[in-house]
Amino acid sequence: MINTKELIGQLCNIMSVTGYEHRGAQELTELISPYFDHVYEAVGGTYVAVKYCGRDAAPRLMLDAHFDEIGMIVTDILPGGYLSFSHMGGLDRRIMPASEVYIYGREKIYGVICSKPPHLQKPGESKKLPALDEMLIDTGYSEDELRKIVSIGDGIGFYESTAELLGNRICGRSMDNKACCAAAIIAAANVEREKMACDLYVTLSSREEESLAGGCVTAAYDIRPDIAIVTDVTFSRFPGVDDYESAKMGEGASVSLSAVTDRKLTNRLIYLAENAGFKLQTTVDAENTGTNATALTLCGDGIPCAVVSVPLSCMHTYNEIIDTSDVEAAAKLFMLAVCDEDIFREEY
Amino acid sequence: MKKMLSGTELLRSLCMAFGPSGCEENVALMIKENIKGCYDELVPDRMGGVIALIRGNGSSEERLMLSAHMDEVGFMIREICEDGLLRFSSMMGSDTRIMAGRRVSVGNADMQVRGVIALKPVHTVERADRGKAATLDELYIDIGASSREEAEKYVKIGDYGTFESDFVEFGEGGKLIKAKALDDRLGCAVMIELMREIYTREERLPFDVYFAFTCREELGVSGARCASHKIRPHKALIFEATAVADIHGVPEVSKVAERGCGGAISIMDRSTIYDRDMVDMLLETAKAKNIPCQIKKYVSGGNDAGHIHKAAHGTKCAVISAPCGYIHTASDVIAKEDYNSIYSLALAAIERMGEDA
Amino acid sequence: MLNYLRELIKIQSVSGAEKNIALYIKSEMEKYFDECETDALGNLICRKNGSGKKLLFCAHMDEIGFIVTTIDDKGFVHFAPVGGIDFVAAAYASVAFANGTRGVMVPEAGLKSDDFKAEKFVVDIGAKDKKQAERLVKTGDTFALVPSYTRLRGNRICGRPIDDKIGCAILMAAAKEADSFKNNTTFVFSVQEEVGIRGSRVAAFNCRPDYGIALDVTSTGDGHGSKPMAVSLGEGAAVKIKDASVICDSELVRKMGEIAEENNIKWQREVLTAGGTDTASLQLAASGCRAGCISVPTRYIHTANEEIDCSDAKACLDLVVAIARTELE
Repeated sequence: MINTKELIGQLCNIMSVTGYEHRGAQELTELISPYFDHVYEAVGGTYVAVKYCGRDAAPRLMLDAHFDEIGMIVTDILPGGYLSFSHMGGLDRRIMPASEVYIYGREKIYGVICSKPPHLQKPGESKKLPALDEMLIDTGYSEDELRKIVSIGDGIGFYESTAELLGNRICGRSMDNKACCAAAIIAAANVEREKMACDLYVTLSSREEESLAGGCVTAAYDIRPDIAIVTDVTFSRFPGVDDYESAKMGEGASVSLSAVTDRKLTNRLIYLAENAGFKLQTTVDAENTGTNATALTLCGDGIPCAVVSVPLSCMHTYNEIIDTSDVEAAAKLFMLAVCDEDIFREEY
Repeated sequence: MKKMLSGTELLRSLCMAFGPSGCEENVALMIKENIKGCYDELVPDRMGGVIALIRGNGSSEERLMLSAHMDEVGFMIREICEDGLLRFSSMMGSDTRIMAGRRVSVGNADMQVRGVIALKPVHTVERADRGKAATLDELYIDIGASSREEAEKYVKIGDYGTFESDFVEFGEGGKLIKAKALDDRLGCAVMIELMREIYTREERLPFDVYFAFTCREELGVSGARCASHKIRPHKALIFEATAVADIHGVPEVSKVAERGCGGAISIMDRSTIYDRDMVDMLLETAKAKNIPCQIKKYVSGGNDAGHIHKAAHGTKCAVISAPCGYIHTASDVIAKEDYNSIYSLALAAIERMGEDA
Repeated sequence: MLNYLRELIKIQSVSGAEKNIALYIKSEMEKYFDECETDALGNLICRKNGSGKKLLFCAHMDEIGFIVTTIDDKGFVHFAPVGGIDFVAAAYASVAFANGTRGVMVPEAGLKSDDFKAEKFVVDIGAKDKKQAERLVKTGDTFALVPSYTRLRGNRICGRPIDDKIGCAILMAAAKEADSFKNNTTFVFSVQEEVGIRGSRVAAFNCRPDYGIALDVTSTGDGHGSKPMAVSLGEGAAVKIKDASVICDSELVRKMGEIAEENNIKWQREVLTAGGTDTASLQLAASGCRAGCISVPTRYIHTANEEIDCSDAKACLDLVVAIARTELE
């Protein structure tokens, strides 16, 4: 059996800042190859992992989890060994000063995002957030040495790796979306081939954080799946977040009710879970799911999609929190879907 | 007996210790362990500090006090919510930008659990408010508990919190150190090493030296004040950390000090006008011995000297501060060579005071 | 290349009205390429048949401008913007319609520049009333700021629209070297980039390239009070790593840098924090392709005087040719 915490930790340790997903190609392939028949990197940087059911002309189910994480990009190298940077994916400026990062140049080096000392701040300035181009990274190198290691355009990722909190909860960077990647991988690893009703294409896709489409759509264009399940994180309950758009941590996976996604497929997933004796939570995302599903639905001649989410706290910080029991619940649901013949019989 | 740590390793273990203002027991224990056999007497301190005495040869009546504070910036738990989240009061000012998203340790000297300073997702912040920092009311500590009952097994109201932050050596040749609490565990480490050096010398100094590791400096209700009242020193040398503002783009006039250029000696700050003779003595000593040091160029901040110089009959004070980037965050950054410079300067200055006595 | 640029600047091509410029480019391209045709949206697709990988270069023919909505009783022409218009830069400028009619772009009297928007502007074409105006201009006509081409000191030129006629000029000049190309090469002159990257998406879907490289302009950090950016005039071809619409394929970026080095072509890395280019649609069309972009560093983009350094444009040209001559894998 795969240890969920361990797998998520391993996935989080693979640097995959949006646009630099290829950096971890070898590590990722080695990690997941045992559970699949075939793993390859598609043109747009998406990793496609296939597990066949063994029958000819079987239907195809695409299970998409974006693999990229938020991060930064070097925009300039400055005197004194400082770097200026821009974002890769949506950064939360509320948490930036004094954050710790790794810069992925010719080698991986450490840096701290500079904060302005209070005596240089104007009154009330601590209530405002500096713009990204006003922030710098302190690397501790001289400019000349730094230029030998780092080039403009190099990727920057946050420092934090995975750490345990109480019970099943863990925190760290890139839980969004490695937690869901883990759910998809666990499902593929545990599902028995004889019981599979389809060929399973797990796409660990690229560039979601920057474009909400990225590598998922181009990979899907080649795979041409009959249906797709997009798995991504959703907000957990938190003061200031509405109940309708959030799910409770530790109470299982959640499905998105949206005008963008396919309601029959979504309902089928709810039914499969109930039939197996567990409940799914729901969120309402009327016009936009905020996931790859929005673009994936419109790929080629259209792909019926459902969105299955894992609740996550502190989204887009370097200490995102998830509950591994929710990841396992999602994996269980995916296994049911992969083994369900009727899911493909619906008239879409 | 445990192996005594020195240099970077000593600094590492001191920085990693849990010691927010008001909860310094663990740091005090660690210091006591590390100074075993290096003093003549431990002077009881009712504020929770550690005061160690190394006696002189009796030829001088004077008392010299060396002081560094043990505490670090932190938090206090004020409410345990129904959903298991914790609300907290800040003991480090109100700049939420350096708190939000950080890992923290929560608890007391006996037990701590890990938590994260959680805030609602940025996606749910109104566009017009995206440029505003979170308010303290919007921050919670999440320790992974799913209910109040579960949280209460680990945390109670009034418990403390500090940043959790790795001790990282980085930069060219590993010349820099990033850690929490370098302010002022670095001062503590320097004093520990000074004690070992001074106590093991055959020749005693003419005067008594009191090494005071103090509490609650960061709160401003300084334990150093009571320690000073008790010791009644004639002179005091304080080891501190100072903001630097040496980053790219800061105009020369706004720079406070520069990392890698030695300890910063203050002429004046918001709490103290330092004793000019002691300041000159430090500067001359540094010059004579070729030890890097700098004058702190900006009148800002304050430290234990503010209390020490006014306590009891009054004390002549000087301060040597370690230039520290991003001070009062989870990522204090200092240059290793400054640690050595400060130690060397302090030792040379004490020797000089011995000669002058 | 500069001759082409001068010609292209003269032919107005507001997004959606690119027919005339396409005809001119086609007449030149036919001399060097095997097939030249326009597709349903008006993209001009030129093929130089060859073996090996399908390599596509793309520059957009359209320019920003305006489209007439109504003409009021006083004979003032009301309009909507086509593409990203900076009205501070457009206020009181001369405009030209495709039929040669001239006019002045005027804001409401007393309007503060903070409140500038299309609804508050009219074009005064000198007509005394609606009837007279309607003889010259009708609803749906497009127009743009008056084109210009001015030589500055050294290698610098300014004028409009340099975005992206310079990209088209570079491809046209590169076409002359077509016989030495090592790949199956396609040049696309795309339409409707300025209104949201529409034309190139269709073109890329039809062509299904292995590699797609856009030619466009980018901002610089060396202007008067510019936002910091590590791109400067005169420092060579800018190889794009990221803009707001796309993260370029890192393998292709590496390769382009390598080819530039091997051929002694001056180049710089470009990270643009705003703006979008055809690169995005090249990357995402159908199964996608490895996408990149070569940019001409340009000051004052989308104003009446966009400034470039010709040595940069030459470097871009050299890089296009060098890439086309490199057998890609």
